[in-house]
Amino acid sequence: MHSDPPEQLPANSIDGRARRPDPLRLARRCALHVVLLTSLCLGTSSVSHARPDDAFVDTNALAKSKKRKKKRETPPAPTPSPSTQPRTSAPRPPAPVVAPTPAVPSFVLQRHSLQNGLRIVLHPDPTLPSVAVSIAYLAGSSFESTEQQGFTRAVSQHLAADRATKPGASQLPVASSYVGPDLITFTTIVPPGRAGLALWREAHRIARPIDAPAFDALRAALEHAHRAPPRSRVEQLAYQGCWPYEHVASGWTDDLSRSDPETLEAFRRRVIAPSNAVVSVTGRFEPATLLAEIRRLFGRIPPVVASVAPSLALPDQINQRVELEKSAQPVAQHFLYGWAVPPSGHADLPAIRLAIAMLQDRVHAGLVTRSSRFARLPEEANLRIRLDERLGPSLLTLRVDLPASLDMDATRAVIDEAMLDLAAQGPTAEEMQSAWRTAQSDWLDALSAVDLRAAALARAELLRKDASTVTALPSALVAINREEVRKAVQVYLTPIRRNLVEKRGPKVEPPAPRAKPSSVPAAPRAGTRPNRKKPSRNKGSKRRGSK
Amino acid sequence: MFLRRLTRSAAFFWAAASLLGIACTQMHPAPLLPPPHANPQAASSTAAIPIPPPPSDDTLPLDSLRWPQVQEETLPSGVTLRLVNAPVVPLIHLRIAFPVGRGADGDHPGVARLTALTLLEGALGADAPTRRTSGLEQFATPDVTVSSDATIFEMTMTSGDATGAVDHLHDMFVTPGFRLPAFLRAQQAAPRMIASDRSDMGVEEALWGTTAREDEKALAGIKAWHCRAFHKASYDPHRAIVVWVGDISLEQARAFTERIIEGWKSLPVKQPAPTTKQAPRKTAAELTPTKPGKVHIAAVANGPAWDSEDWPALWLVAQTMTKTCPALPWADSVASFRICDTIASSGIDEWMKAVESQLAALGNQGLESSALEAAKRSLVESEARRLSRPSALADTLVRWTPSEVDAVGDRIRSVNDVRGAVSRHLQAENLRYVVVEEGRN
Repeated sequence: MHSDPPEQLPANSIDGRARRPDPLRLARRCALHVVLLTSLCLGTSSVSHARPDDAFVDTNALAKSKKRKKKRETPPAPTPSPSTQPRTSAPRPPAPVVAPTPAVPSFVLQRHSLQNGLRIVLHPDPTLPSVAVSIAYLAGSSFESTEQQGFTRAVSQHLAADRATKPGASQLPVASSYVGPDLITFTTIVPPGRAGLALWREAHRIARPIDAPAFDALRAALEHAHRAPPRSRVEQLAYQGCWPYEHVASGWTDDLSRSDPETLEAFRRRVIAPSNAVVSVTGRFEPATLLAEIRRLFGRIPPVVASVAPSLALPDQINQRVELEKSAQPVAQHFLYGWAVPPSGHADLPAIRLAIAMLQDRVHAGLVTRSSRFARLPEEANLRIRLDERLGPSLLTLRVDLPASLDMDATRAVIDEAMLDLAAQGPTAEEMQSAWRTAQSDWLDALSAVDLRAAALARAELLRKDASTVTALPSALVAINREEVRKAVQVYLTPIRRNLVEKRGPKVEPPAPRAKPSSVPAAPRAGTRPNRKKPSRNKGSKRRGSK
Repeated sequence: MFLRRLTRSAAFFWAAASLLGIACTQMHPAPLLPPPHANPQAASSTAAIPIPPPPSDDTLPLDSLRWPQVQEETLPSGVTLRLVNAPVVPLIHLRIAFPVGRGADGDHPGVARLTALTLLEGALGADAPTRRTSGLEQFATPDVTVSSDATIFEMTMTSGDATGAVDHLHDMFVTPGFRLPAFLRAQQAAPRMIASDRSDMGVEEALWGTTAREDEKALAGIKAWHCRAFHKASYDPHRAIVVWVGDISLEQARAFTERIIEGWKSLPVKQPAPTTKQAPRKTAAELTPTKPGKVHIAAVANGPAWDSEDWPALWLVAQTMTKTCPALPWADSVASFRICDTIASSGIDEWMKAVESQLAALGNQGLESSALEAAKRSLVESEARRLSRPSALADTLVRWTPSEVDAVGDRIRSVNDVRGAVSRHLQAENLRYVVVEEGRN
């Protein structure tokens, strides 16, 4: 008779019973480590932030990265907890995933241009009761030279202050403005009869010079600007070596202190020019009449040589960059991950959008529904994911705010593990279905508002040179498959390409002990809910008894 | 040989020229290239840019509040259907309103809210008992609001997902499970909803004297079977109002609406009598919170009937005085006068006195014609901004009929004087004040 040799008990067996090492669990750990190593070895070399027609990967950095491979310290792969076993331990069966039909908007677009270079996008939509006038300039902080830090912020502040300078404009509402690294946008919603007035204000905005009093007013407004928020700090880390996106561009900078009204005015004239701008009008209007009005108002503005787009080459990142802030006192903590991802119009960006749709929280009826991947995040943790689409490498940020009583390392471990798993296993079929729908729905929801639609059209015309590309996103989203999402996460959202800004204080005990985490009620929404505490049976009976 | 000599000569000349060049440069520096911002074409004075003058306000006609075309009909089931067809963006905003709200809570304050939330929570996610493989959230972004007299379920979906969403809504309303997990999640969500509704609840209490206050203690006393009973007794599908705004035709809207309530056998619902008793007026001392800080404050008053000629004047007065809430009553089911502000809690008494003296002055002197015209324009413009979002259209149509909203523009245009309306409805004794601490709502 043959008998098996007695099996050794694992050292950490708490209940004293024999516990077989779970082969699936081991296999999963191995898979995670393999993925981590693969991303270390291959991920950096295969990443390019290049626009589709450019190639500007820093080959020296690649060579350096190969040399430094041995020195690299990778963040340790978090130990998978038993609660995540059912989802990730077994290899996923290749479930058939049927992509939904893309929900493509049917926009009627007219594109024109004037002699002075101004581009015009008209989108008449008689179902809307109002009109949105949006003007976008290809002029952001990325167009500043090394001696012009903060000039864009000052100019945009000057432009935004241009309200109610003439009797007719006094009744116009304040335009909503956006100032980014590549774009400055002003958008106004008006009743159809006042579209001409809104256009006049934009023409006047182009022509308003920065004189000495305006310069002094700008200094007064910008001198008290606050410290750069964490997002700006993560931008500085993510864009190291890419001056246009890396530099500080807010507040009253030293360069502004050294400049004078004439210098700032010369900068304004160069960037706030018709050849750098797109006027987009959306809503209820008669296109021919409005086009004639635009020609009348903007046609006599003289042409100016357009500012040249800056070089947006980003050296490849070869290790995680970190900025830590520790407080001696208990504080509201946060950490922010930032990744440089492909630029606007890049073929990989829709896959990144789908990944975001899989990871971000949804709010239904006052309750936050957490992504199944982040189901183990504490309820008190507030998660925000944002994609900042740019002319050069875009920026994806994931921010988690948490109270002083929560363990930041444990919270980060949940995020890290979820990201690694997404890179290793890819999304499930259910996740893909959900992401296709939510990403499309969010996009369409933004386009259904007249002002956001006008701004999106202007932005697409400036960044991608074709306003009609705004309608192409739903088709691009449903064309992405699971493997492409997995690959995009594996290539772009790796730990070594990550940038971390963190603020933490000493851990404090929570005010009152929480009920012991018991089994979550047989959640109909499997995995889409944070750990809700279900009152135990004893508690329930107590309540009944007390009543 | 010739080539070698030529090379040597060239090298000599090159060296000599270089030396000469350096010397010249040291004596007369070469002119620098212009910096990038000193573009010669941009150097002309922008003050001279010939922008035509703006059109004068006097020459611009006051815009009408032009609503999109609304189709309304009553279906054979009794459901009121309203539709705005906007096919440009393939998205649909759906509102389903039942005329039952907090006013029907009775002895269980919060039961209307918990019932609505339990219904919604029960429809989210996969569900083994009903053999659902996915939840409503896979097809739509759902939400719910509960006011004093209505419960409104809100959804946004792509037009391709409407069929799936409608099937889930049918299950949600007609065969609700009221199972414990959904009820527990509803209990978690309810306090946050109450916190965000605190201002509205305060206004309702001030205007109509509703005293049943929802709080966590009251919610804890409600069981799942209370909600089941409330749903059975108070939800009447035949009195529901269903609003569709977006990429959907009238035929589709009819079919979807009938599908949602298909097979729903309801009991005859007894509507609670609307309360009309105005709450007693509170003094500044009673309203001032013990903890100093910022507060949201509102002065409210019951007005005349909706079709009274005084309402447009009251809206214009509200438009000139309010800072943080809209002058038109689209967010409420009943028209009331409201002006709002955010102030320091120490300034409540001063703010109340200022409002009353301003209203007294308006009652005596009225608004100057330029101020009246400016108020009209400002009201039309704020309405144009609001209506630019289809979801706002749906929110309004679920409470107000198309004829009510359509007529507002003409009614505002016809106002010439506000004195009569102010003196009739906005005397100090008619005003009630509501204060909510900032951060509590």
